[in-house]
Order: sequence, then structure tokens, then C-alpha cells
Amino acid sequence: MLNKNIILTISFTLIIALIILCVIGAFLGAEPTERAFSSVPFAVFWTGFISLLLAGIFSFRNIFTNPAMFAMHFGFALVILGSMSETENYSAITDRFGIGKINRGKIILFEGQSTNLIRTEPYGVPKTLPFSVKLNNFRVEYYPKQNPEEPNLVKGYFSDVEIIEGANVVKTASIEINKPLHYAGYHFYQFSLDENLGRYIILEIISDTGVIIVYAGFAFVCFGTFWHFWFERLAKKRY
Amino acid sequence: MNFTIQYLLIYQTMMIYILAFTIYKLRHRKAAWFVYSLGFVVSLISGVYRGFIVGRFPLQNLFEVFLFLGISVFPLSVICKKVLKIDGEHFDMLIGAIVLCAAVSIFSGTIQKLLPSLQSPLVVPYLAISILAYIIMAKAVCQAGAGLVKKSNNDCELSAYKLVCLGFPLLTLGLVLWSVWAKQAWGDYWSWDPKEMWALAAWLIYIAYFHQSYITGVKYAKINSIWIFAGFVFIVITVLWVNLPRIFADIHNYTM
Repeated sequence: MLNKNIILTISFTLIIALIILCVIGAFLGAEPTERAFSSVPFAVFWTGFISLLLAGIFSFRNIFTNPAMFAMHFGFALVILGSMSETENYSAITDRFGIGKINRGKIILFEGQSTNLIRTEPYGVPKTLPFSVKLNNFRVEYYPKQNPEEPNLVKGYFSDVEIIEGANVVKTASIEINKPLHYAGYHFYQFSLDENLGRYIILEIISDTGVIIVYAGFAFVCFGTFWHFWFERLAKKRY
Repeated sequence: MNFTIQYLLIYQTMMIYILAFTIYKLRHRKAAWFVYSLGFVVSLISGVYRGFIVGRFPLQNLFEVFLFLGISVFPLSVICKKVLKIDGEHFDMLIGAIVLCAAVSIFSGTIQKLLPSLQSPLVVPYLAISILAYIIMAKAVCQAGAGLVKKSNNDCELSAYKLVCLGFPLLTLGLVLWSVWAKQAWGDYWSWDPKEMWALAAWLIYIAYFHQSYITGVKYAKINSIWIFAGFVFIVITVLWVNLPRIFADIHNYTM
């Protein structure tokens, strides 16, 4: 059995460390922060964080036996775990054993044509998908203008695509912003377009590994915090 | 100064809130509550009017967000008073006047058309819930501050604790909704931009506060209050750092 005081002290220290790291990250800007937080040293930090959460759950009776307390701590561990399984480092490991999917990449699609090539960073030889995507039609919708001088304001981008396996069309969908397409373990997002000519679009394709774990974690954390703080702490009493 | 009906209604609400605060300070509490509820009605009218002229639920830009804040202080006071038995409704009157002042002076009330990424059913709940959490945390800071000033501070400290307990789940749900929306719209839960980092840091500060108060209880009540202060400072930085860069700037090559 681990000493509770030691676990509490380490937890408190790690929370403060994370606050400081977040503030440093805020000053560094998005890209360096993302690189740092998904780097190998941080993977060690996150693993430590998850271990500590689990250690806390198992050594504190009031966390282990209280569903709300358990949900909060366990959910947070799930969110970190799920996010870790979406990083490049994780997919580099699964690639080595030949079990990984493509983590993320981009597809360039011309109207009326289909492709199964997917470009991943660093942009070298494109990888291939086991199915192809065809762009039937691409539309941009604008808001109606009150007077002619107003600039054009985009209301929505619509890409009508087909998923083709072998010779069969297995799925048709219209991809919009806020409405990605989900197929065969990948999400397809409207990413960019050929601004001047409108001849091609770029879809971003992201593996759905870890999504379920993260969403389950979110659900646990939300259930746990509401239940614990509203129905236990506010309704009953302080510790 | 802007003198449209919208703005006149907001000025009126601000004046009524300040009047209610003054009456409260003159120790006519019942009269203060009456005036306060009047202010709520006027603010509600201005919110409904806003929704009517923009033709959608009025919660899509910072002007509307602050207007919503100005409306929500009254229901919050009622809940705190009746359910949680927390006093300090005069703080809410002041908070209401201050946020409405911010709405009319800092943000623009011009009607905007929504970018494609903003057209999600998650946007309104995300904003409404986060804002509610922020305002509860503001109230907690007032209580914590009163606790720091007064000599016997345990009542204030307990009220502050209750308010953080009330606000923290909302803060959490706000972050989660943001994250789910970001995943839907851009493909990533988290883009590590400064605003998100400040929001995460603020959330973690409240977590640190809960752990601290679990470890030491009310033995070091002032240290507990300092955590609440720090959390709110971080929330203010989150709100004002850059005006919601991911909402109003184009991050995915779409020009506005």
C-alpha cells in the first residue's frame, strides 16, 4: 500500500507544475507548445500523471468507493490516455509493429476525379488508402447581400463525395465544416480549397483511434464533477 | 455613445443595478431586491430585443455574451440566496453593472453573419455554460476578498467554497463542449493556442484549490482564498487575451 500523504503531495506538486507549464505554453504560442506537450519527455510526464491518478484511486478509499470521485479521476486519466494515442509518437510505435493506421494526412481532390493517395508529413511519397474518395461536386454558398458594395460572406462549403471500394460506391456524403464524414476508422474534414480557381479541394483525414476513449473520459469527468460537487459537496457538507 | 434602442435598454439596466446596489448599501434590503428584479426585467427585454433584431439566439459574439452575463446575475443571486444560503447579492448587482459596461464600451454590437465554423449547435451551450461559470467564479472572488479583509472570515470562506463547488462543474462542461466542438469543426480537440492554455491553467487552479482544501481544510483559509483569486485572474486573462482567436480569425485558410 502506498503512503497516502506521499501521493497527495506528489499530486499537488504535479498539478502546480502543470499550471506553470500551461502558462509557459501560453507565452510560447500554439505550435511550439503542441510540439513540446506531445514530445517524448512529456509522454513520460503524462504517463506519470496517469499512474498517479490510478495510484490515488486505489489508495484512497473515498475515491475508490465513491462513484463520482472515481469517475472524475478515472475520466481524467482516460482523456490523457486517449489523447496520447492520437500523437505522432504513438503512431510511430504502432507503425514499427505494422499495426497502425495512418495518423493524419491530406487528400487533394479535383472535381469529378477520385484518388486513394494521402499525403502525410513529411511530404514525401504519398501513402495509399484501402478505398478511394471521389469528389462529385464542390459548392460555396454565400450570404445574400443587402447592397452591392458588401464583400462576399461565405455561409458554407459543401463537398459532395463518394467512397469507392473496388468498383462499388459504398458511401455518399456531403462534407461541411462542423460535419465531417466518418468512414472505416477515419474522419474526413473540409480543410482547404483552391481559392482562385476552385478546381480542387483539400480534405484532412484523421484516424479515429482514441476518440472513443477521450469521449468516454469526457463523459466520466462531467458526470463525476456535477455529481460530486452539486449533489455531494453542496447538498451535504465540506470534507 | 450609441443611442439605439438596444443600447438605451442596456444603459437603463446598468443604472437600475447601480441604484439597487446603493439602496442595498443604505440597508433597505427588500427595496433593493425589488429594484434589482426590475433591472432583471429590463435586461431580459434588451436580450429578447437583441434576439429579435438578429433573428437567432443572441449568443454568438462577445457583445451578446456580455449581455447574457448581465441578464444571468439576477437568477444566480436568487439561487445563491434561496438554495445555497449565500449572501452577497450586492456583489451581483455590481458585477451585472460592470459586465454590461464592458458590453457597451469594449465590444461592438454590430450584427455579424456567422462563419461556417460557428454554425454548430454546440456553440451556444458552450458559451452560455462557460459564461455562467465565469460569473459564479467572479462572485466567489468577491466572497473570498471579503473573507481576506474581515477578521473572522470563516463564513465568507465557506460561501466562496460553495460558489466554487457550484461553478467548477460548469467550467468543466464548458471546456468539454469547446473541445468536442473543436473536434467537429477542425479535427482536433485542442490546438494549444494561448487562450486554451490559459483556460486549462484556470481549470487546474481550481483543481489545486480543491486538493489544497482537502489537505488542510479551513486551517489556512487565506491560502484557499488566494487560490480562488488566482483562478479568477486566469479566467479574466482567458477572456481578454485575444478575442476568441479561433472564432474570429481564420485558422483553416478560409477568409472571412
